[in-house]
Amino acid sequence: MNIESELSHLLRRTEPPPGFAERVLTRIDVERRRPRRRGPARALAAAALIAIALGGWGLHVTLRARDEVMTAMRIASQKVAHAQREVRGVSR
Amino acid sequence: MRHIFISLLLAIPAAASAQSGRINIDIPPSLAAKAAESVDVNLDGAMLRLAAKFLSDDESEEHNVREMVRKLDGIYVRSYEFDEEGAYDRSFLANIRAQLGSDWKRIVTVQSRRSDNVEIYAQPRGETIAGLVILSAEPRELTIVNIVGPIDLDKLASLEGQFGIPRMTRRSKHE
Repeated sequence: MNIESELSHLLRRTEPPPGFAERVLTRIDVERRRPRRRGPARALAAAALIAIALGGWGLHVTLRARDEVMTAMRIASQKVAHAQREVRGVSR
Repeated sequence: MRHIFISLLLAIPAAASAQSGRINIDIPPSLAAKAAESVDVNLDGAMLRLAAKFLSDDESEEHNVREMVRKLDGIYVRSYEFDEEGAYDRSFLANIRAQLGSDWKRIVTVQSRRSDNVEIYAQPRGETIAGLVILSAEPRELTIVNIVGPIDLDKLASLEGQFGIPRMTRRSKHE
């Protein structure tokens, strides 16, 4: 058997088994109707990302507030201590 | 009559805020723009309580600050440093003093040629202080502090120079 006849044998048109097209269409229909399972996972991932972002921002704001508290108390304590020293210096 | 009514309406919020220990310490934007470095702190009670949770609870200075700020309803600071002397008009401080009603008492006035002039006003409530205003005027620096809530002056003064309180994080325009 030469190569040409072998190819023509392999590439010959064959008919699908009976009912093949109906089974394929039925399967496609079933797949379309099946509820998607990726939705909840994607929603959870999005919620986790949002929570991480909000948590990070909240932490940033809080840590900045902490530094501001220390700065404010330092300024206030310096001024009050200076006034106390001056008053004590005069009263001596 | 209408003018009087409007004036009364405008006066009510200012009086109410002064009553609670809070005053308006905002300086004019034109003056703030002249400052080479500035510190602006606006922390209400909720933010103070939140920030206090991140202060150390061991026997450090942070612990002392934490105990102090937990009871406060607000800390507001404006501190400006100028490149040149006389860059700001000291009459601005009169606007601050004008907000302090009869329930505020001036407890200390320091006038010094060598260092800064400081005025401390307190709002007594019973045996405690319900509010504090510090006005500090130097030739090249202006600082206004408003602490709302019960504060112990001796404890506040004792914080000065303690290790752990960071240097002022001024925002420099030259940076």
